[in-house]
Amino acid sequence: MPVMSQAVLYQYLALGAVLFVLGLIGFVARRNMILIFLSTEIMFQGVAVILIAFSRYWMNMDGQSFVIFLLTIAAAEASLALGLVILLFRRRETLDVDVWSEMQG
Amino acid sequence: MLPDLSMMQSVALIPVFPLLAALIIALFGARVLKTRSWMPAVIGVAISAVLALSLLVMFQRGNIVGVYQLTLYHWISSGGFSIPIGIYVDPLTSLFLAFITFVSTLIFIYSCGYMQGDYGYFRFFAYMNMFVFFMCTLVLADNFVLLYLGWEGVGLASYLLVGYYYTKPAAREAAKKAFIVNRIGDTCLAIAIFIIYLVFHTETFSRIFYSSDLKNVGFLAAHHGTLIWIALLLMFGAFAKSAQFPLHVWLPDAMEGPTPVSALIHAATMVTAGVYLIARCMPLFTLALPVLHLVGVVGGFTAFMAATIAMCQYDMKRIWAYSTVSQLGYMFMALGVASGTAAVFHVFTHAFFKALLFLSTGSVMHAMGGELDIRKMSGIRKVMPITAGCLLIGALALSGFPGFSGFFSKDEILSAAMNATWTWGPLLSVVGLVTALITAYYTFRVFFRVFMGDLVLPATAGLHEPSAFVLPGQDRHESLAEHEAHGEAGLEAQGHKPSDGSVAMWMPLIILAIGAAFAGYLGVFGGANGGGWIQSFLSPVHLLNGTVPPVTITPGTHIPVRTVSTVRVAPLMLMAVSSALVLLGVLVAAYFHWVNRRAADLVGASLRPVVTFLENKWYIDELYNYGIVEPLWLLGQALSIFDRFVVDGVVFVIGFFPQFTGYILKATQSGRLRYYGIGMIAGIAVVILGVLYLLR
Amino acid sequence: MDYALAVATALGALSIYLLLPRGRGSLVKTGALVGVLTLGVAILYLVRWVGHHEAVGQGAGLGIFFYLFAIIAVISATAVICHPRPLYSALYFVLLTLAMAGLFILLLAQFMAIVLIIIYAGAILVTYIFVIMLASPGGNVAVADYDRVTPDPLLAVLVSFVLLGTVLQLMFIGQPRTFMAARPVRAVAVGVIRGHQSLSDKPALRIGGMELLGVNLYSQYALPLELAGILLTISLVGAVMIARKNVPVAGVLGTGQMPVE
Repeated sequence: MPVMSQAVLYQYLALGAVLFVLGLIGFVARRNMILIFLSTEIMFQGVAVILIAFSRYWMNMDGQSFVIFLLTIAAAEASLALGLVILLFRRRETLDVDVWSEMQG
Repeated sequence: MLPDLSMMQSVALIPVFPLLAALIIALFGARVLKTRSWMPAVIGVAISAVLALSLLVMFQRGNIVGVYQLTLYHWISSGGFSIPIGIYVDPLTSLFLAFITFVSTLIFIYSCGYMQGDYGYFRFFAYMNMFVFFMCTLVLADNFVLLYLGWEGVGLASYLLVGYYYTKPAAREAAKKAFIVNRIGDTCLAIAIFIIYLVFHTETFSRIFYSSDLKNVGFLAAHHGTLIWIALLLMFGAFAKSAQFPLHVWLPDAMEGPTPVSALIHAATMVTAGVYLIARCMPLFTLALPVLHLVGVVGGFTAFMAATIAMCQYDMKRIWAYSTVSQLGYMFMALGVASGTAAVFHVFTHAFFKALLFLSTGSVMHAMGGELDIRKMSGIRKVMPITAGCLLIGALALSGFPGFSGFFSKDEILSAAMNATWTWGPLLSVVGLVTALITAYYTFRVFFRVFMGDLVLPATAGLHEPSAFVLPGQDRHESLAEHEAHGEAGLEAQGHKPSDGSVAMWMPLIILAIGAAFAGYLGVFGGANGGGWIQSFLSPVHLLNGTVPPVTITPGTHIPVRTVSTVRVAPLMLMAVSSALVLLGVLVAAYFHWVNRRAADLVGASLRPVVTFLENKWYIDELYNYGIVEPLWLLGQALSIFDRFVVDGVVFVIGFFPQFTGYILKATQSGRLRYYGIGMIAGIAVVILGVLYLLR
Repeated sequence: MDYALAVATALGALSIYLLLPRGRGSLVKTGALVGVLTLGVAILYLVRWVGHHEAVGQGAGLGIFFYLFAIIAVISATAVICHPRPLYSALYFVLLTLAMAGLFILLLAQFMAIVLIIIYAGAILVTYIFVIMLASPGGNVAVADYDRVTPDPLLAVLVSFVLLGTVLQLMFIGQPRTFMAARPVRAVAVGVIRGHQSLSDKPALRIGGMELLGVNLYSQYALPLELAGILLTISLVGAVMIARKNVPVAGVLGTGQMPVE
């Protein structure tokens, strides 16, 4: 069936939401900086599957194009984030994000 | 003959070259150019001078007739309100441009030598070029807003240059004073510009001055009061910039700047901007005759007052500063009797001889190690003959000695006042004559004291000018003491005997001296119908000499302008009287300050109260201090108490609440990323839930 | 409110809460059990939901592969965020990426699937693993303290699952409450196991191809594409600048010292 039904779309959306929230939990619960960034990558994946499902649903390529941009952002973020992680690790010899809390009020 | 368009458009480039030079020096001065900073400066101004002179020639040949206007760019455009950047060139603009750029070039060349070795050499030239740019913008502007830009720009340049030696407290104070006093005038000018827009719905000169409204009786009657206010506010603007009576106090203090600055900005060019403004706006002033007369009265009073103060000052530069105030008074006197030509003519000659006097004084200062007190030196013509000669020519021109430039221009003003249609015009002329006597006296007092008699040099002679930067850790007195310890040998060791200085310094002096000596003849010969060149050159300028307005504009009653049939004093007779007075002044000065200096002291002692009064500059600074500054200070104290107890109390109560809230909420700012993230998620969830349940 | 869905969400929250690393007295096994329970409830819910749609005549089943990949994705994502060793997390992430690639193929986005594997599994994850190796804490500790103990797991899980529950309720609200109403068992089975999609549909296949994607990217999104390229370059330069050694502690870049007054 070339055209996807709404019911099918919803299952993909639900999967995307679940992945997104799992990433969110990892982002706020873990202390390891690398894992925090890995969690954001999970969130990216959740969004990507939603976009591609929409692309399939509407039978056009916009969703897939967005995923290309999303991958670009993910790559840029990963390079900068890992650079920062290395820099911060050099300063304090730890990956614990709670060590960096100078912004407290 | 058609105007050569490409040539004409190059007029717009006149301000551009100094601007370019200023930018180049500002960008590269500190690192690349350093002591070569004078190169772009002089080249930029020299190109402008050539362009300005060629513009003058075009007007002279008749290539351009009347007014040339060119819109370059739309600066501000908002609905019906539009301010273009455009140029408005008529003979008045052309003459101003010519002498501004020409005198600037000479002073720039002089500065190359004079400022040598000063800390921030490049900064000086950057500011000076910026000044020339703004001055050219001011005179070229085709609307009031652009004129205001130039007006503020020259004020800024003046402020920066007066405070050039910013490590000296006096220089800082003087710069602040100049800026603040000018602010009063600038505010008035700004308000005038606003009102002009309200009345005429445009800011462009040509649309205002040639407006048919100005000939419309109904319009004039309806706007009579407004026109008076416009003229009054423009007048205050001009008074502040040109240092006229209530607002003259900044100019003498501004002499703290380097001497070339005093010569260029505070004598030759910027201070004449006020004269330019009133001459340019003469079509408006002729519709507000009371204000025009007030201009004349204040001009006459200022001329007299400043001249008397100059009699009893001892600092050479201050004397010339008061003399400038006095001469500007003459110009305003001429404007007051609606003789723009005479005023502009005096501006023109004054630019030459006053620049010459200042630069000569600068040479003296340079040679004497920064000493300017005329009581501490004498007979120095023996060590600096060229300077002595040039200063003599300048003094002759300033005092209006027959045959020199000041004589002709001053005479033009006096006869204009004498033959004015205004009742009190002749009285102004008499004030002018008395002032001429005083002028001759104080001018030659300086000359005879400093250059004639036995050679006496101040202790600092030959030292490098100590007015230059006193940097932390470097005491000027140290070098002075060192110099005294070495005595004559030290003088030799420094290789800097008091002299005329380098070629760059005395060459411009000679050129200016030629100008100071002969510029006046332009007002007597070379014109059409046997008149002067200046008069016929300026004759096409719209209403420059403010012909009596076509209608009397007092609302309600029609009082005809009284054309008083005074005894028309023949120009020749006036010339004879003024010559006699000038000679008298010179002779008195020669007796008291060359032949018999002891007598001067005796006379001074017997007239002690008068002398003290004049030495203290009529107590005007004190008047301001007790009349304005002190009451303001007291008011400030009172307000400060109010502020401390009432306002601060309210503020404390208001401030306490957020402080308390902040104290409570501080706990949420843990600095840990986690809790901020949880907060964000919770926020999103709350928003979605809210939308879900509220919109159902 | 859909109670079955709410129960599934709550069970999921409990499972994640139990699974998150908590030092001594780990409850991983209990958590896993609850997780399996959650999946069971979720599958039951889905079967009911699919059955309803099949009854209405709307193809809703996605085929066995979707459910397989989805379960792998969810389990591996849970493992990523819950595993105390970062290296294992990274490896589970690779698994997640593979599952996602499978889902993309089901969605006829074959090119995106390949790109995902190349970029994520091939490039980004390798970088992550490098960094994990580089930045391992000194000493002989197998698992660092900050990986072993999670602060405030309850708050994080609660808030996040409230969000998830809200979103899911929003999505599935207004769906039938009656359980398995008039379900055509065969249709459900066909939908869930075989699905209604076919990879051989020709117009659909064209969607997955690179050709249309290329046309779309270089016509409609030409400028954003260039900007994305610039962004990548900038981030590359930024990463180099950030990670280089001897970064000045304070003051001006270049001189590396504060100007002396």
